[in-house]
Amino acid sequence: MAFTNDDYLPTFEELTVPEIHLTSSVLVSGAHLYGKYCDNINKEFMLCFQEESDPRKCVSEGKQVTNCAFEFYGKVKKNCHEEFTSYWKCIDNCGSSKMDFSKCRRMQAPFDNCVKEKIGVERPPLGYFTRLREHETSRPKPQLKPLELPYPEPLPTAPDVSKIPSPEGAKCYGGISL
Amino acid sequence: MSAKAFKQEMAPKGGFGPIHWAKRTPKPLLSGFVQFGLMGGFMGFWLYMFYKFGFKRVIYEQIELQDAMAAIEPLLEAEKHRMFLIRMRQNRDYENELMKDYPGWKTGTLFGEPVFHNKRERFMTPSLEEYYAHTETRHYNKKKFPKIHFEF
Repeated sequence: MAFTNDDYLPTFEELTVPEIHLTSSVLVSGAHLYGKYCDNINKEFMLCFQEESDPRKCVSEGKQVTNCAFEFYGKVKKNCHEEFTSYWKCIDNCGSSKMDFSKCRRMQAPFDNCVKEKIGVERPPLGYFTRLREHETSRPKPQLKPLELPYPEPLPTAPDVSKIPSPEGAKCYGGISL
Repeated sequence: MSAKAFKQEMAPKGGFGPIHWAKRTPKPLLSGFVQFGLMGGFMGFWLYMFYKFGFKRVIYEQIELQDAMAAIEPLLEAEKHRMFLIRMRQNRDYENELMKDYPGWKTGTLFGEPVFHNKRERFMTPSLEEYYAHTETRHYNKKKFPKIHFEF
């Protein structure tokens, strides 16, 4: 085990939140509008994990992400239930294993219009989520703990060799200058 | 009489024809250069057609799929982190319970010696063996040797 009893781990109460139980086709068919609706919260969470690289410090941001997903899909279920159901069923049946969007344009248009009218979210342009985006945050940039290694004490300086008289036998040619 | 009827068989006049000793290959309808040119022509034609009518559409569909996956990634990631942390806390509790009677054992260390040399308190991702330490082996094997599906 990598965690000792002194290490910080969030409690079960902090970690247990209602998880979103939706199939992949439902998630994917509403993905663009969901991403646009919860844009700032999602970017905040991903930036947090990118900077900290520590899942313990981004628990509250993750909870906000799930909460926002509940909010969006709940609104869709409340306002555009029929349009969304026909759309995700089309993607589930006709979209092959990759869940292509290209075969369900007829169902997509009324769903987009409904979401635009009732919820107020417009479908982002092509490549909105794949390109690099900037994000402004108030969270300070994390700093690692400064390194404190037990450095050894410096050695005493060596004596000056030139001032020490050399012994008699060590001189070349018996000390005769040539 | 019999001497007149006797006829010695000899080679035909002018000798035998030449012997076909070389391999006989059929003559090709088109020469190599013409075949190569035809291939280039077909390939160029279809590449042009693909670029003109199909290329952009394929790329746009791929980008749209990538967009969708990138949009729902934070949701899946957040859920995954919570599952991971719950499992880590459960593992620590299990180890406390399991080793409570062993003298000198400290949880998360080997008799007080830490697992990682971690002076700056970075987050160290535990290994797969640690994560699946208190489960059955089949759960670990399922994660370690996953079945690969080629259809998706």
